[in-house]
Order: sequence, then C-alpha cells, then structure tokens
Amino acid sequence: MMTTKEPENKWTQLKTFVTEGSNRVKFYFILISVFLWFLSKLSKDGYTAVVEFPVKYVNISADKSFGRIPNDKIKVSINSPGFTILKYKLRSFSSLKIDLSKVEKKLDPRNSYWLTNSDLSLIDNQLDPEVEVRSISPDTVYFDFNKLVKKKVAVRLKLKEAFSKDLGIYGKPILKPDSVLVSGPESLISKIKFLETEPIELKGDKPSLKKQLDLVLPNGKGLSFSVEEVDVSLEFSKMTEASMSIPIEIVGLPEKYKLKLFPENVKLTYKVAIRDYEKVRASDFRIYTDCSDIESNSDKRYLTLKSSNYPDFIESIHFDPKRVEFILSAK
Amino acid sequence: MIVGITGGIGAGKSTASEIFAFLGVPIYEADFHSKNLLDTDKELQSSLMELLGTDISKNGLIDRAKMASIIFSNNDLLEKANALIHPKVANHFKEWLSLQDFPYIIKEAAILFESGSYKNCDQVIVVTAPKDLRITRVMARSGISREEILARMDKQWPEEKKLELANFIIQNDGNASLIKQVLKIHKSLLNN
Repeated sequence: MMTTKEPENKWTQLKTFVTEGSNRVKFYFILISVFLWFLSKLSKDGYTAVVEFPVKYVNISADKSFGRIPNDKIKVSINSPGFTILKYKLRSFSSLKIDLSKVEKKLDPRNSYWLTNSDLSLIDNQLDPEVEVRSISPDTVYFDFNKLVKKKVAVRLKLKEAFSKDLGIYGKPILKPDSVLVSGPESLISKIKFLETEPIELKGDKPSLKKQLDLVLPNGKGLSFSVEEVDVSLEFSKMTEASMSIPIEIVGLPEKYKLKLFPENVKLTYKVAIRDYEKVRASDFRIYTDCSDIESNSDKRYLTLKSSNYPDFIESIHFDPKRVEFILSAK
Repeated sequence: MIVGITGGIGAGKSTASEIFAFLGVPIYEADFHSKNLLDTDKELQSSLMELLGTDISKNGLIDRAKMASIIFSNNDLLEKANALIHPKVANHFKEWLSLQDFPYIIKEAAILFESGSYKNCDQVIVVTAPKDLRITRVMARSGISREEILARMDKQWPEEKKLELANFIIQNDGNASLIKQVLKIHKSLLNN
C-alpha cells in the first residue's frame, strides 16, 4: 500500500508547486522561455536531416513501360531551417515526381540506371526554396524498361476432336474479326504468334453454326487486346478423301543440264467436300524442286520437294515422297 | 533374260523400275497390263462375269473394286479368278517379250511370288523397306488407314520369304541410294 501512495504524493506536490502561488507564474515563464528558445533555434538555418519521400515516375515515353517498378521511396539529405525539416518530418507530403523525360536522356542505354546524385536539382526544385538538397539515397535507381509495341495477330479457331470422319468444315471458318491488335511490352508481344479461340465442340448436327467465342488471352503485365471475343461462322459438308498423281516441276535448273527424277510424280492425297470433288484439277497444285544450287552441291543425293498453290477448299493435304533421287546429265 | 521385280506394298518397286527404264531396260508392268486386259478383253470379261456374276460389270467394264471385294473374301473364287486372269496376262507378256531386243527385260509385279510367275523369271529382284516406312508411304500417298494397309500386307507373302528367293535385294529405306543399287544390279545383269 505504501508503494502506491508515494508517487501519488509526488504528483500532488508537483501540481501544487506549479499551480499555486508565485511558483505558478515562474513555471509559466519557464515554459514560454523554452518555447521561444525552441522557435528561435528552429528558425535558424543549418539543420541537416534525412527525410524519406515517396516518389512517382512521370512522363515515361509512350513506347515504354516498366517491367519491374523501380524504388518507390528515396531518402533525401537536406539542409534547411529547422522548421522546414520539422514540417517534412511531421507531415506526409505528396510524392516527389521523377520526370523521366529529363532523366531518360542521361540513362545508359544498355543498363538504364540513373545516378540520383548527379541530378539533385530535379528534387531540389520540388522542395521549399530554403531547402538545400545535399544527397539522395539510393545513389542509383535502376530502371527495367520494356519497349511497348503493337502487333496484329491472326485469330485461329480451336476445334475439339473431329466430330465425324465424313463431315468437315466447308471452306474456311469465318472469324470476325480475324485478327487482333495486341499491344504491350515487346518481350511479351514477340512470343504471341496468334490467338486461339476457346475450344469449340462441333457436333455437325446442323448444316451451319454461328457462335461468339472468347479468345484465350495470354497472361502478361501490360498486355492489351483490341478485342477479347470473336464471332465465328461455320458451314459443314460431307467430305471425301481423294488422291491424284502430280508431276514434279523442276525449277532453277541451269540450261546446260537435263535432270531425271525418280520418281517423276508424287502422289497427293487430300480431303475435299463432296460438292467440290469435281472442281479439283491436277493443275490446282504445284509440287516443285528448286535446282538452282545443284552445281554447288555436287554430292547431293536427293532433291527436296516443295509445294504451293493449294486451292483453299482442299484440306489435309499430304504428298509422298518428300524427296527424290535424280540423275543429272549434260545436254 | 527375264528379270522379275517385286516388293511389298509401299516398298518402292515402281521407282526402282523407273530407274531401270531410264537405263533403257524394257519394263513390263504386269499390274497395269492386267487391269488393261480387264477393261479391253471381252472374252476375259465374260468369263469373269460367268464366275462372279454380272453385278461386277459397270458400264461395260469390270468394276475392279467390286470384283476385289468378292474374291478377296472367298479364296476359292480368288483362285478361280486368278486362273482366268493370269494366263491372259502371261500370253500378253509373251507377245510383248517377243518384241524386245535388250539383253534383259524387267517384269514388275506386286504378286510375282504369290502368283507363281517368279518361276518363269531368270532372276528376281526384291525391293524392300522397313514395315513402318512402307505403311507411312502408303498412308501418305493413298490416304488409306493403317489397319487396311496391314490387312493388305497380310495377303502378301512375308518379306523374309521373298528375300530368301531373291537374287538381288534393293534396300529402299531412305538411306541407301536407289540409283546406285540399281546401277550395280544393271551392270551385273549385263555381264551375265
């Protein structure tokens, strides 16, 4: 009990000393003196302190974005009147702006770093006039810039397993739009070759199909797409498999030679809608071998065959063989 | 000299024959001529219709697909049909052979062994290729299924049996040059 009463008594004694009689006046004078002394001290220059400021990066080039966000705070060593330091210490300030249009010019093009202490004025200008910026920490801010690009990529229809061996899609699926403008960091855009729709299951129970499909969009920070869904129109038809023999065309053979290929024809197989079966002609196809380098490859044993000119109403095209032996002789 | 050339489905005997033809060797394509005889020989057509029924006739020609579907499911009918077709082809071959004056001729036939006509050949060349490669080739050029190709292969003699009876073997596995192998055989046959 004694131990708890003792502080209470001291507090009562101090209260009595401050609030009663002449002591009270003395105390107020002391208090005012201390306060005036404090004000006088704070109003003087020459105080140095480190203040932490949030930063915001502005005026980034239109063709760039940040891969990784750089430091969001910097510590600034300032020299200023005490009041100003107190103000910066006690109040939360809006972010300091790092104007990248000014900073970027000084950046090393390969490493993209900014030596903060070489640009003290950039920060100094944003603080009170009486403030002098001494140094900034960190001394280096690294920027991970991504170049922003735009690319038009084709949309592809993704089909689930074939719905029937004899049924197929007649003609090319109509996709609206058939391409998408993708914009974002170059490193991500370069990997996007095409965009696929969500997989569609075709039952073939109706002669045609119209549907809106979502695009399967790749993940990636900063990517944007001009559309995220497409309208698809399909027509179905009964398909048949057909084959024909196509003569191999020889191109680029120097005038002084004649060339015999083994075999001279390839067997071409394809799928075609029954209604188009009669439309197919051997002249619709071109299988060729390019012999322009035949002289420089004298030990070559085979000629590779290439193809082009397929009619667009034909699909699942195969030809065999893919390479042929040959006898080259002088004319 | 009669030199038979044969090989399983997809082995590449036609390409090998083309190389012999380039070297000036007369080539008798037995399969082509037998199909041609089916289309043109009225006597053969009547005999076949008598054996297999008039349903196998379509627009005055033998419907080969229909005929095949009948005879390949009935061995007895297959033998009887072959007994009608093979002598006709043999006669045609004899006539053709009498017109040739090259040191040797090539008779190309898919069923040289199976038909027994290899017995009339002085030498036999077998073109061979790995089974999987043959299947891939046939699938690529004809579009028929793997199962169907295997069924057709089953109807032919096994590769090993053909190779045992071969005087020359041409490997058409995509690695060894066909031209080089044919040239070697050609030289050997000319020196015989």
